[in-house]
Amino acid sequence: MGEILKIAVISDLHCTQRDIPRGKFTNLHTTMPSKPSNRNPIEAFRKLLENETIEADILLCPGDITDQINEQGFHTGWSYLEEMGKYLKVKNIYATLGNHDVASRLEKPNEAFKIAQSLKYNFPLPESEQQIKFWGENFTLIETDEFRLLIYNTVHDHYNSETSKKINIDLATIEKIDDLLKKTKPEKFGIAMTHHHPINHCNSNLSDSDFIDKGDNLLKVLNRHSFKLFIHGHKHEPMLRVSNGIPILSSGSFSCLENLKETESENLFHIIEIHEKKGIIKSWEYGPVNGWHQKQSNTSFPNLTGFGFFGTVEKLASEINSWLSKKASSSGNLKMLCKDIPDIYHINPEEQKKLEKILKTEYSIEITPGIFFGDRATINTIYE
Amino acid sequence: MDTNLYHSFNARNLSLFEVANSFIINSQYRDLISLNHSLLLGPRGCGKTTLLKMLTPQAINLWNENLNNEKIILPFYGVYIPTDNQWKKQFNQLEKTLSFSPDFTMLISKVIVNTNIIKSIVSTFYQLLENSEREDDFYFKYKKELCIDLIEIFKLDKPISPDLLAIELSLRNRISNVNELINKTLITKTINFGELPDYFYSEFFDISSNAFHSFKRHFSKDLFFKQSNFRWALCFDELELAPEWLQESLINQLRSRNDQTILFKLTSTPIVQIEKNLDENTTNLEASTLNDYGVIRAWTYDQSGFAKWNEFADKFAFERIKNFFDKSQIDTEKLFGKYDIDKVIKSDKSLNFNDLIDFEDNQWDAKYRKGTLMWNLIKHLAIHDKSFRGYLSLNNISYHNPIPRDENQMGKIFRKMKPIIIYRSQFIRNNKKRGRKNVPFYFGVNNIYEVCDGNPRFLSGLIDQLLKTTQLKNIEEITPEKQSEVIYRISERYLEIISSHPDASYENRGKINNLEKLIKEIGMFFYDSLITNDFTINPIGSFIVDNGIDKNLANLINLGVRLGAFVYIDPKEAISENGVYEKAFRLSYLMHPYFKLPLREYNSRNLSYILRVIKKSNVFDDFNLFSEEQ
Repeated sequence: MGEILKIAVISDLHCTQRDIPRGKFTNLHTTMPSKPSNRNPIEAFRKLLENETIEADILLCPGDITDQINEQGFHTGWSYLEEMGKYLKVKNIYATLGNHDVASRLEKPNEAFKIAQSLKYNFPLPESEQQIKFWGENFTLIETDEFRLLIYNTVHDHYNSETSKKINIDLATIEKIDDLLKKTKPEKFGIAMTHHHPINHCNSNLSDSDFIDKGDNLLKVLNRHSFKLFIHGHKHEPMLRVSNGIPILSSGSFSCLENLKETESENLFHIIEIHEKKGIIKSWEYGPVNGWHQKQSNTSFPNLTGFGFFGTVEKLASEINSWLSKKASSSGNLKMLCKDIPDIYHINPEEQKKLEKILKTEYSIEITPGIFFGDRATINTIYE
Repeated sequence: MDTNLYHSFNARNLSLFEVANSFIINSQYRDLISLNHSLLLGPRGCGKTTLLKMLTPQAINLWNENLNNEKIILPFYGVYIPTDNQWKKQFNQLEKTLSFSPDFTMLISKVIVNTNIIKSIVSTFYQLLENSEREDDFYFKYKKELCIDLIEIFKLDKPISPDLLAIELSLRNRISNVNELINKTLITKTINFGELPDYFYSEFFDISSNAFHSFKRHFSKDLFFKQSNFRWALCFDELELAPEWLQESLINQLRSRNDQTILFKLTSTPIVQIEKNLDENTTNLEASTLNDYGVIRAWTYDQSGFAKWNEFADKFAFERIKNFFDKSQIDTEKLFGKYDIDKVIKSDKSLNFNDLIDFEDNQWDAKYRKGTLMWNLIKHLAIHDKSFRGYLSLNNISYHNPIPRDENQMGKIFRKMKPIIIYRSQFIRNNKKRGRKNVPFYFGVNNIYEVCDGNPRFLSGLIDQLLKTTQLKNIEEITPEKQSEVIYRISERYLEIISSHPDASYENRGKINNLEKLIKEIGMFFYDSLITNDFTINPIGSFIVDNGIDKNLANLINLGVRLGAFVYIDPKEAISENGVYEKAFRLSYLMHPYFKLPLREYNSRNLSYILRVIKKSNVFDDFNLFSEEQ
């Protein structure tokens, strides 16, 4: 694959009405004044794209479009996604359901999926055949010339409060997926998307009990079929980790305010650029004062990170040292550096920190404010 | 009503992008960009911060990127330095808690202020250097050399990456270290001056000057800066919030000719009060402004100011309304109409004016002849207002047929008394005052601009509130009644906002006095002078702060001036040892609707007299008058 595939990820919108008690838990409401634009995440998004060239081929939404199955929020949330898709010039939008998109607390199994199933002709997937599989088999596989996209509905059995307590994927479904993937071309980039996370996602502040039971089995199958990326929502804490050989992106939330403080996270969206089975993830944060922006300090999720790097950071550090020694100024920026050493774009947040530490302690080189910052981070030998 | 009147358009909260996007060049800006020191004075909300921010390289770049804008080329690079009101509070607090060592308190205050000034300089360098997409080795070499110089000049901790962001981070750490030192000293009560880091003894002017010279040294050969003359303007916003030592130091700098490459652009409230320690040269500041610095007054105190304000307000309102309707063809006058008070008086059925005559000719007395609206109105008031009858009789004007004798009488009496007659005729019936009026007073494009009194923040809030009463799709005239109602509510809300300012109250001998009470007393006196008392063609509508006013009250007036509640109407002095004393003020026109006063400036009386009179008249019994608007 010579072309770059660009994927926009917008997750956990939690769109609802402003004037209900839950309205205060989200930045995204069914009615929002367009001015001041920065206080309206959609308007601020439009404004960002007016000033910066940000485009994508497809838009993925890993669920929780609405909040506590607010019907008006669901319709408006989906239309917001469509609007943003237009700004991004995407060909298609692919979504899955989150726990907030299902009426599991109604205790009426027949009505749990009523709103979702009648939302719109293109929800959650553009083609009706894809939708039939999604609703019938709880997963669907989309195969295009450029990619393979597996979407699994982790809330398929959330008919009532009892069944919604556990998230799982049964072995039969994993086997079906395995059989289906055998018929696909492994050279096509493989992405999996679910709402819930396939492995434990706990941090120091919150415990975790709602990861997909047998999710690691699914990861093993996906790895066997050369899948290179797993995207999920639900947890509003963005994260990029590797498990069973697959990078797992916890997308964070586009606009929900719940659990942000506890996890020191911000609202954000991502653009993933995939080339030669390696990826670069660019992320923008939201704040009602600054709108969508790339941050200056290394908190939460980096402005720039990636996946698909299989070398060692020690070797990377040595290459950077040689690169800098050849510069008369002993100075430069990340964009220039990555032109010569592109692997730096593909290291994950943990590897970024490790690389920065080696550069500082072993070579007296500092990247300011850090690799997370992106192209305009500067690289210098430290002044003693 | 929400509170966006005061807060939605505060340039301190806006990013440079938004400032540049909403900026409109005015005469004050043209004065400010001249190659001399400037003292820009004005109340809160008059746009001082926007003007200062528009001197920074990034704001200029953003402005110039828009091809529709008139290109701005500044003869200097502006360094925007916001004054943190914590500086003064912290200094005053330390003066008390560390009273055993005033020297240490001064050192602490200076190091905090200096560090913030340096941070602003670094931010300006960042704007100049990092906004380009440059990747050439020369650029990185010069930048690195500059940073190494800055590390030495600022005496930063090493090792450190020679990079502007790393320097900024180090400066932030310095502030934390200083705060830690304060806390330790508060507990241990011991200070070892010898152990304090060297940067405690730096002077901000020397550090700034060295930093700017270093920038020139490294980038003067760089093609990117070949047009630059490497002059810099240190732009201090809100001088009144700075500790006194800084205020004095900066005012002394205005007269200084130490370094021709550094200019000072300072903003403050309409009167800068300096009490002590000024250099001898500074004592007669105003007299020598031509040589040294320019005083720019960003509020409306004369006809020329109002003309400039109207021109600016027209552009401002146009942009605001254009954005609201998302249409390019907007006629502001179509939306708000003209101020045609004659038309609304004619519509007042309670006056029973039948068969009014309109003379079409342009003769001087056309509007005052027998049978005209004014002729009828004068007659009407004379019937209901004995004192007015007396006034007419004293001037040999028959109230049965009140027509001007000649052009002189027309100008001196008839035209001058017109607004007073209009107001009195609405509030006086059968020689008694009444609260309710029948016609709206505040409406129409020019009235809207005038009521905002040169303050873009008021105008922004008022237009937003007026637009909320319209339909998005249709640009139809908002009725005078609706406009007047919105303006009255804003006037009322403004008084509430001012009253909630943390410094708006003080205690004196167990009694609480506050700005709201003071404003109401003054407003009530003006109302009485115009409406309740015997008719006079020269009512009282402004006041002079005389020596009978105590210091606490003077401070309250000073706060009112700062917040724009009082307007300094005879601004001869910019920097004064007396502060507000011996100076004349009127109420902001935004207050006038609340007190039902015309948007006019009237004669002054001493404030101590006004307060004495109003105290006797039991003013608060009459306040219900002001809460019955329409």
